[in-house]
Amino acid sequence: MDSQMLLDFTDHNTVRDPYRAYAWLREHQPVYWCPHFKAWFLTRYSDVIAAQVDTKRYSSNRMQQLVDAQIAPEKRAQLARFVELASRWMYSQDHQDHRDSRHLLGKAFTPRTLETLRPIIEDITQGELSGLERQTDLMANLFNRVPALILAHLYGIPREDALKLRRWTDDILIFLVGSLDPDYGPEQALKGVEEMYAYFAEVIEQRRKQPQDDLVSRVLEASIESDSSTDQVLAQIVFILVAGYTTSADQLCIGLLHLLEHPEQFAALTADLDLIKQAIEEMLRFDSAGSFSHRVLKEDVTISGVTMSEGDLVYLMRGSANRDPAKFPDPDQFDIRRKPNDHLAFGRGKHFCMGTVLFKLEAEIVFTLLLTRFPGLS
Amino acid sequence: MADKPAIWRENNLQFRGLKSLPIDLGKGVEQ
Repeated sequence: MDSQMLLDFTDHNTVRDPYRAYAWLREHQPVYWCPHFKAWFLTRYSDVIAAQVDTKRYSSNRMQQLVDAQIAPEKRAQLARFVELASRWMYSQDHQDHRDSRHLLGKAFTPRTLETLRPIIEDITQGELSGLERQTDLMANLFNRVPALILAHLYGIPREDALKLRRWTDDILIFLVGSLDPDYGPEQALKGVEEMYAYFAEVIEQRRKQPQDDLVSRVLEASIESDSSTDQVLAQIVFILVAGYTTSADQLCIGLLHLLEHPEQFAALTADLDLIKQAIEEMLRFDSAGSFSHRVLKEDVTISGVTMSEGDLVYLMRGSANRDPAKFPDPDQFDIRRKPNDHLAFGRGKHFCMGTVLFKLEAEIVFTLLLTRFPGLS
Repeated sequence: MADKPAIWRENNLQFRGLKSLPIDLGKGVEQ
């Protein structure tokens, strides 16, 4: 296959399995201008990690550039509202604004706070496992449900509202990465985003009047201490959903698929569930649900003899970095005993994912209970 | 074995995931 075909990132086969394209780029064009995304791709581990931690030259404030790169000029005005909303997420912020937003969620996401969720996540998972039929679609009937129900518990919202969350997060992702579906683009997605903000604005208002023992109430409490506005609170509350739901559901599902595609690894894990934490790290490395992040350059940057210009959009291809043979021996081998396993699935530096501990706890519980109860699943 | 294959979403390079993962849970262990 020639490199032109290999590097067609609009091709469904490449989207499904981009790892051969990434391998080619790491070797031949580690700093690659992707015409489809109108962005540079960094694909080597060393370049990705360097960019992740360099907040001086690589800005996270990229919503406008993402929209400009993907949406025709005549349609951009419709998306101004989305850019305005999403630019307040911590994900899109730099320096002091970012620190302030992160502080709002800090108390709610400490390892100790999250460990108190263990029995709740166990109950949710056991409840869902009990309802499964022998022949089932685990994406729809388990992996999509458990993270939604955990988030519903965190937010203190009704279980029946939890499953609305997937559609809203999918709508937001259309803005972040575009859609290859011609019938469902940003115009349709904007409606979902507006609904989601209205829903959470109402939740915040209720908690302000009547605080509960939940995440929204804790964030509101922190906002009073730091004198943050309601808009700042709303932005971070919504962002938890954007960052935490789809990625968790997808990562659980992808992880199980790779286990099943490697029967000797599956057998080793079911025989010794003490390997579960290592296995989860390998699932994250081997095929990360969130496979890249983006930045905007604040000045010209030259890597491997290629100069990228101030204002350019740069994609940090973590999925590629995690398969870089310069970092991981036999990177295309799925090995649940791999150690060390210093993958970049959650990023690095000041923007390191705040949900890391929650996801790992969730994955540990879901896989342990699933494989204990159904060791013969196939 | 589940009689249908897993189906990947193919419209999003950044956020990977499956549309469906059909599984046969087997007999299961009494709880």
